[in-house]
Amino acid sequence: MSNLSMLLDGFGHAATPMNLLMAAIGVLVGTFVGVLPGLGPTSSIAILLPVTAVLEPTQAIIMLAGIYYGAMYGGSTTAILLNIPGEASSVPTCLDGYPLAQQGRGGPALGIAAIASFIAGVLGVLGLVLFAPVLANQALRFGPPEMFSVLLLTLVIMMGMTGGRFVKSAVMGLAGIALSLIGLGANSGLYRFTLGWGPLEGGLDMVSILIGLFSIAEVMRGLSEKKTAISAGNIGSVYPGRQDLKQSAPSIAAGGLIGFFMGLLPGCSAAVTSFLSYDFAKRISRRRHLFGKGAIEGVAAPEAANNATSSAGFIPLFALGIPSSPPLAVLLAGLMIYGLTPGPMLFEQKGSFVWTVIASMFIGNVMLLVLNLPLVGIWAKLTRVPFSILAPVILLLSMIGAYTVRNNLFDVQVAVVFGVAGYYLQKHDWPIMPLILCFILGPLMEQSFLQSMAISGGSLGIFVQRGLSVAFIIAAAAMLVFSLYMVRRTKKRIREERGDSLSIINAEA
Amino acid sequence: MKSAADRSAGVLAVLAGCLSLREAYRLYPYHVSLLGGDHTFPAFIGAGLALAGVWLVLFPGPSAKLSAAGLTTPELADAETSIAESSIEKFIVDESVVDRSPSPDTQWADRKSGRIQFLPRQGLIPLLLLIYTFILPWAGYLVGTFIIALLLFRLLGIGRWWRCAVYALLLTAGLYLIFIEWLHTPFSAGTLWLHQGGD
Repeated sequence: MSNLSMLLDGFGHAATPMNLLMAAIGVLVGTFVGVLPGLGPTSSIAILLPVTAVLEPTQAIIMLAGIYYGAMYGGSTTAILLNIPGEASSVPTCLDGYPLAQQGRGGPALGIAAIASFIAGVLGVLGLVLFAPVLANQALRFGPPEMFSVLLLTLVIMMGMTGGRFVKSAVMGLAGIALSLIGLGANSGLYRFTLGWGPLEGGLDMVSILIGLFSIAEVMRGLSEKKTAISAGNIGSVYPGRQDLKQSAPSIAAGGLIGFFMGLLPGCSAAVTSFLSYDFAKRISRRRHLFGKGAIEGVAAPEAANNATSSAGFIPLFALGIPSSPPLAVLLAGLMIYGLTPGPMLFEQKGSFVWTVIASMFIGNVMLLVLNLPLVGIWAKLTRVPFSILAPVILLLSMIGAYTVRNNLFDVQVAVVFGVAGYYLQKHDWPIMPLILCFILGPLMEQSFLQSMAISGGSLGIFVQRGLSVAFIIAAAAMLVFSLYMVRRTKKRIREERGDSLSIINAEA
Repeated sequence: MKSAADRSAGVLAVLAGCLSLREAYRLYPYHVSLLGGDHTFPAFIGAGLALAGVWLVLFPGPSAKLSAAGLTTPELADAETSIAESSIEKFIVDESVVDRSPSPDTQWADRKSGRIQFLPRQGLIPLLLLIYTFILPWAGYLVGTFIIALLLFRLLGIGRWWRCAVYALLLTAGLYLIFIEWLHTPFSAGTLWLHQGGD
């Protein structure tokens, strides 16, 4: 009950004209960049993070969350109208969305995608309201050993979910932790990994690394893929009929639930949940013979799953401070820039802020629906912007974005170096997500490990002597097996539908 | 080819692991306990990286089998090119909606940059961006950004210099308004102009 009253209070704060404006701008900008080739949710948020610096923390996070939702939705436009899945999670949307567009029903397909995203998004936020405070409350009882075990669980599942060879994920994860340790050591007061080089003493900035790995690398990759301007053709009315809605309802519900519960797993990408929900919707549909030829429920299920997964990721982020995907890692960076450390204490100390942001997510989802349906035609036209114009804009925005975080040109150089690294890593199927998440969680992991060692007098036995800690370690092992199975299944489905042209690795760039 | 990449990465991982172990060794005298201190994580990371690196060297990725099957390097390169080409085709699935004719915007790129030319072009991007970071304090935001934007537009396929200049001017002005006028980001005005009595 208290959660409900706090949520209502959050609505009171979120419904100020300025906050509503930020949510609207975020959703519009997010959809805009999501539709454009070369920019995914992660790079969009990373580039725009410094731009929000002039805003109040609440307004900034509302805007960034809006960008996240908008960018996730924007990807479906190119999938449906042009049969171009910008990321692996959009492949199932293409399967029926594009045949619908060819039949002159691109509009209703986009409409159903928006409605499915809205319903699943709201479902996800409801789950956030119900589960996040409970989880945060439980997490308050965590001591350092439990925290370390939770982080271990997170990283192990995430490494299993990346879709590549486990040894590559492990190398990337270890490299991420090593990079996070650059700078002053907390115990000895000595510099670590600086190689005696002054600029490294302040450590590496997370935003620079993200901008490099996602924005700059993405532009370089875009060049090698020779992105071309393509015309979208006639899309028809964007408002789906009653029959469309009736046919899509079970798929939306199934996609939303699958996306939400699977999305709670760290590292579980929307690619996994969207394929799973597409296959499930096909199995439960009476019109399964139409799947692949233009079944509207074939668009609804993966889109619902996609958005529900995005929303579910906020639960471990707010309750435990653990981002489950790269875009949420950038949001975490955003929260930290504003002095807000996500985790169990966030609900205690900054309850008003959290509930305002959660309330604004409801509002953002409504805006996504209300603003996007009438604007679908404009979004479709945007897909024609030539990459030769977009790429320099993205690159210079990235450069200046990296500079503005600490007003330091060294950060810009770091972004460029990581851009080159990111390009080659992606080219050779090295997963980037373990690097990012381990870079972010590394210091927390080290801190909880060293505190555990201080409690136990240097004995590793502490991790298996406490019930919760053991449970997390056993869960880590079990989830690793499950995640490897899910990833193998998703890779097989992608290969069946798209050959080897799309990889589950490094989705959501 | 991929196996070589995996093996190279494996060697790099071993080297990084050794570096990390060296850091652990350097920090060990300041320890609290055997597993408590700033050396602990560098030691874990170093050991992990070294082991994973050795694993990659010994058991590289699946394309090692291609190499083992007796394909020479040029054959492998051809195979990779054909795979890359088929991948691009798969991205652009419906031929009827694809504008295959070179647009005026991309003519320069198409003429100048065939498949082989793409790699140098991609290599030039980070080079230009690094040059930008070095000339920015010297030339200042306006001149530095305009020059780099001009070169980027030209490099990435805008055909004529005057068009590149117009786009570069618009981009420089737009970013100026957002970051300097609105966000008050402190960019250098340029030491070059200071020496000549400018601002």
